[in-house]
Amino acid sequence: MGLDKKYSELKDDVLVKAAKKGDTAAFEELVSRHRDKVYARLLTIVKNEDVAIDLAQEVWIKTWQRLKQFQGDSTFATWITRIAINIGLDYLRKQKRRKIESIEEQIEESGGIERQMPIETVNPTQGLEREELRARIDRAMKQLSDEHRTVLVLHEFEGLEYKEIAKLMKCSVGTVMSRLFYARKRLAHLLAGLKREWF
Amino acid sequence: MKKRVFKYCRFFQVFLIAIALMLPAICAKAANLKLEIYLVWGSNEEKLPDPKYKKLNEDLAKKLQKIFKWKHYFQINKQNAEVPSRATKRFKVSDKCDVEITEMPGPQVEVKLYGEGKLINRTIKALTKDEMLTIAGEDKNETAWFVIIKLLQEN
Amino acid sequence: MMTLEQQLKIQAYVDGELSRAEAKKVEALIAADPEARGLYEELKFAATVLREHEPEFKMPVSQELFWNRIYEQIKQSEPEPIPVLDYLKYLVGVVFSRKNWVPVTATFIASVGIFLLKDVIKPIEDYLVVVETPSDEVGSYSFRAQSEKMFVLWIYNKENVGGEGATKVEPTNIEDEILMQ
Repeated sequence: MGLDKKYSELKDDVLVKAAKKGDTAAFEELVSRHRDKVYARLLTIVKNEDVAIDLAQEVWIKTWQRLKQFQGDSTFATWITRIAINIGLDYLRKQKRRKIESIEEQIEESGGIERQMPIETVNPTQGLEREELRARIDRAMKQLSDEHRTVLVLHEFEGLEYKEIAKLMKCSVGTVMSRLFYARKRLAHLLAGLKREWF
Repeated sequence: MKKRVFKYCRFFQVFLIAIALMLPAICAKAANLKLEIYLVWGSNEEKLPDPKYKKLNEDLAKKLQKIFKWKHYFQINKQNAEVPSRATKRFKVSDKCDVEITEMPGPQVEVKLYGEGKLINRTIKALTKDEMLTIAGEDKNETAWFVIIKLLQEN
Repeated sequence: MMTLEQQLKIQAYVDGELSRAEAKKVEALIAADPEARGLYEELKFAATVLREHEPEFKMPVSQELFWNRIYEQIKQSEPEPIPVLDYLKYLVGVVFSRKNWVPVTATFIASVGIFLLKDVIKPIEDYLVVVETPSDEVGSYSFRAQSEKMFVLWIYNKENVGGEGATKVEPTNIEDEILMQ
């Protein structure tokens, strides 16, 4: 079931058209092209590699089943990323076993210690290797709560507006704004250590 | 084990197929109608003022005599008509009177009676070979008119 | 000390979510207040550093293995269609199997019974009659003279109601009852 060379030369919309007719080889090419992006998006949301792999599989199976619904209003990459985000968020919701949030979570939601944090006057670092910076950002993101991390992923990586994020996260725009605010404050605080380490 | 699309019990499947094969015979069909349309005058006088109008055939006259009070029935107009399936056709039965017939799904027909261009009556009813449809009314000088529609054949 | 509302407004300004009028107000605040300017820089940094350094991850599973899993799931979820010929052979086998003779005979008798009864059991639409008389001056009533196999729709002038009836035969059956239109 190897990839036919000709498929690798075709654009996404052509592959999608073929896949809609049942061409699994065309679909395989789409999987090959976009699987890392889908996996990365899921990993940033769920923070767990094994879970992200399982969810990625679910994303592709759902994509195959819903292909006929894809009308080309957005790019295929955008469409499948949305499916991945929805599946990732559904997973997080199912994982939330506690009916009443812990006090720590409540504090984190409302900003808690970050409200009292001094403003970090940190500039984007120069001289740091790109990969090192990415790794630091990844570690910092993992220290955020699910809600804070998710809102950052949706806003900064997906470029969604407040109301789009509110719809996906099933909360109000006000909640999105405050979560984003405190997520950024915390991230800035976590990344401030970078400047102090290197300079 | 291969998944099967049909999971009904096998006898139900046989029954369904048997019914499906007989459905064309069971169900009402789209039909072309062959009709006879009469315009009849009823009077107690033995002769009409206009001598050109013949007496109605005996069988039909007897039926009308049993139902209505008039003694004599005259055939003013008789025409054979055909109405294709799901179509509407208009027939002139006299200078002042038209009948419009529409073949509808099932055994039903719609019959519209026009007098001097105005719609007098609209009826939707099943039309079968067993039963004639008669639309009638009284007229001057104690006479009556009858529009009789008889189904001869359905194709 | 800025209020939370002011801080969120600055964030919304960073994200381009404010109207022009509101954005101007925030710009004025940032220009006038060092604390506001500091917060603006902090939020801008957090937004920028993330956007420009989105972590990249490669799936730690080979394409072949990953695709195989997906392919198996896709195939399992689709029902396998039965070729028509195979299905017909299967049915013929059912019908002509000795052990099935009782249910098959019963099915056949039921089917023939329905076919023969189709003329006896008249569908309800055979009895339905719709009559409309749009004119205010005329009315109508209908009845069925069963012995003469005739359905009659009588049209009368409403001014003449109360005069001598036209029909010799009064409807005797309830089914033949008339509705004054």
